[in-house]
Amino acid sequence: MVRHNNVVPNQHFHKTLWQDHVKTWFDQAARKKRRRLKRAAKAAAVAPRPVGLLRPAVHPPTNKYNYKLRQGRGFTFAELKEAGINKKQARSIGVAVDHRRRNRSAESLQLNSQRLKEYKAALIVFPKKRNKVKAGDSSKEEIASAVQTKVKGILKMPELPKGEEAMVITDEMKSDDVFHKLRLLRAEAKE
Amino acid sequence: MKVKADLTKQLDELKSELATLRVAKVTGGAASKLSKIKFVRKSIGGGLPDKDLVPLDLRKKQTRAIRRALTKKEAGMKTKKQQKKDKHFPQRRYAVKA
Repeated sequence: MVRHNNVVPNQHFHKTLWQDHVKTWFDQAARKKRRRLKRAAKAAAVAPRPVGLLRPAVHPPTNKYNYKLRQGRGFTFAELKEAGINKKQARSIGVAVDHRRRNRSAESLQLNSQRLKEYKAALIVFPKKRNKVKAGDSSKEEIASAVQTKVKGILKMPELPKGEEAMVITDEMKSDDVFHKLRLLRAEAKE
Repeated sequence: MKVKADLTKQLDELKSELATLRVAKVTGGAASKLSKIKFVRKSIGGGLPDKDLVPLDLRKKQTRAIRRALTKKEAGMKTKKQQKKDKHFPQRRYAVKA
């Protein structure tokens, strides 16, 4: 024990220093290379299939983003049926399936089944056995011409309608009661 | 080697014997019968497969969880339904035209 009237020793060895929290990324370049090589290895492993699956275009939830379109998890059973693709077979030809999603509008069904039809038209399926070409398999010429492509490059997401261009606000616009108009329209739609 | 039918028959016999012995215990049977209970119980257990019934010095120590875990083969098993799915809808070789 400390003798006389001195400070009791209580050194703070458990103190966390700012040096402990510093994050470095000196491995950035190496990591980039590692990712690139991994991507290339994966592409080579699945060749001639494109990497990844075909996914539907869906509207995100919530007011903030629901005017946009993004990739969803998978196509609904209704969309597959519309496009004439067996739901069990879908996954084996690179079409993602989501058993939970629903088509709440005819537009979404139309949009995604169209996407599926385009994909189907671009698809080259190799026969299971080289000499036994069965129904649904592609012809020899098509198979010979097959190259590995990217699904994203071929089937782009549908573009969003462009917004209004800037314009001078007229008196007529100013006097228009948009709120009232919307209320009326809503009321009409409810009936 | 005993056939499965023989073993199950033996198991049934042992179980019924144990039942009678338990009755004897309640009704106050002879001491020889009471001491027999343990023996019969153990012989029932002997007929059942159990990883931990391997003598302690012969089995690997590891941890309790590892000892009870599914073997690699068991973990990799597929259900009949999954087997059929895999068989009828295998991953196809395909390409997508640009």
